[in-house]
Amino acid sequence: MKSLSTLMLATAFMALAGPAYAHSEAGLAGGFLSGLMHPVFGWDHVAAMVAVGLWGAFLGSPSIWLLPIVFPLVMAMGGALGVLGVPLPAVETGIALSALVLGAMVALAVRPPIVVAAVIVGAFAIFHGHAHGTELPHSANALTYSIGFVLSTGLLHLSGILFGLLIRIPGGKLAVQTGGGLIALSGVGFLTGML
Amino acid sequence: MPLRLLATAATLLLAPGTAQAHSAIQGIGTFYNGILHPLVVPAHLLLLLALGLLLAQQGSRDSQKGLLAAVVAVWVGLMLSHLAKADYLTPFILSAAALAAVLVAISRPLPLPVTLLFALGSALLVGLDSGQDELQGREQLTMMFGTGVGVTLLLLYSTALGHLFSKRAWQRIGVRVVGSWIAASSLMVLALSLATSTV
Repeated sequence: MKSLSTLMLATAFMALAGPAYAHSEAGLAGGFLSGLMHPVFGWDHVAAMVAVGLWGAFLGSPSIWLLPIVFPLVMAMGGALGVLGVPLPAVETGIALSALVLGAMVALAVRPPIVVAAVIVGAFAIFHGHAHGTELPHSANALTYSIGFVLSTGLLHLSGILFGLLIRIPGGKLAVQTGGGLIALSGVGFLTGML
Repeated sequence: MPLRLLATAATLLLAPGTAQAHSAIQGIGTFYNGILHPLVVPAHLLLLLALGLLLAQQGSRDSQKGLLAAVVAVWVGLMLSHLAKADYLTPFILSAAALAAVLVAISRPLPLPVTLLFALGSALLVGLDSGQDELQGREQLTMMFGTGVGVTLLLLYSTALGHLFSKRAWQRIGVRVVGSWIAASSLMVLALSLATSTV
C-alpha cells in the first residue's frame, strides 16, 4: 500500500515536471540576449524609456528624433562611469525619478525648449547608464551585452514614439497624456517602494 | 597637465587585453569562416557598420573615394597582420567605432582628406586585427582571403544601406539613431576595456 502511494506520488511529480531548457546561451549570443532582456525586465527602465519616446513624439520634430539620440549617447557616459567604478549617489532614486518626471512632462503637456528637454532626458540617462554599466562586467560577453541593451533601449523608445504618434488622431492626445500620467504614477510607486 | 592626461590615456589604450580567439565555426570550411569573421567579431562589425554609414553621409563622390581607400587599407592591413599584436588593437577599434558612430549621429559633412584618413585608419585597424596566427600555410591564406572578402562585402553593404536610407528625412534620422546606438555600445565597452583590460 505504501509503495503504491509512493509510486502514485512519483507519477504525479513526473507529470508536473516542466521541460528542460537545454539551449542555454553562452558567449556572444548569451551576452546579446541578456543585454537585450536587461532593460525589459526592469519595470523602472521600461517606464522611463517609453516616456522618453512619448515625450519626443508629443513635442514633435526635432525632439521626436533628437531625444532618442541624446539618450543612448549620454547613457553610454553614465555606463562608462558605472564600468569604471565611479560612484554615483542615489542611482535607483534617479531612475525612479526619471519615470515620475518624464511621465509628468507628458501628462501635463509640458513643452520646454528643445535644449531643456535634451538636458532633462540626458541627466536621467546618466542614472540608467550607470545601472547598466555596473552590470556590464558580469555579462557573458560585454560587447554583445551592450549592443543588446542599447538595441533594447532604442526599441523601447520606439514603442513610446509609436504610442505618442496617437496624438495625430482625435482623442489621441488624451490617451497619450493618460499614458504619461500612468508612467508618472509608476514613478511614485518606484520611489516609495510600492512597485 | 594635458600632456600627463594624454600620456595616461595612451598608456591605458596600450594596456594589453586578453587575446580574442575569434574561434572558427566548425564544419563550414576555412574560406567561409573567413567571410563570417567580421560578423562574429562584434568590435569589427560595429566599426565597419559605422564607417559604411559615415561614408554614405559624405555624398556620392567622397563616399566612393572613402570606400575605395577603406577596401585597399583592409587588404594592406591583412597582409601586414602578422606584424601586429592583436591584443593591443581592440581599444583602438572600439575608439574608432565610437568616433565614427558619433559622427554619424551628428551627421555633418567632413572634409575629403579627413574622410579618407579616417577610412584608411579604421579599415587598416580591422585588417591588422584579422590576422590568423593560429593557422598555417595555405589554410591561413584562405582564411585571410575570406576575411578580406567578408570585410569588403560588409563595407559595401553598410555604405549601400546608408545611401539607400538617405532619401527621406525619417530615413536619415533612422541612420543617425543607429549611429548613436553604435556609439553607446562602443563607448561602454571601451570603458570596460580600459577598466579591466579584458575586452
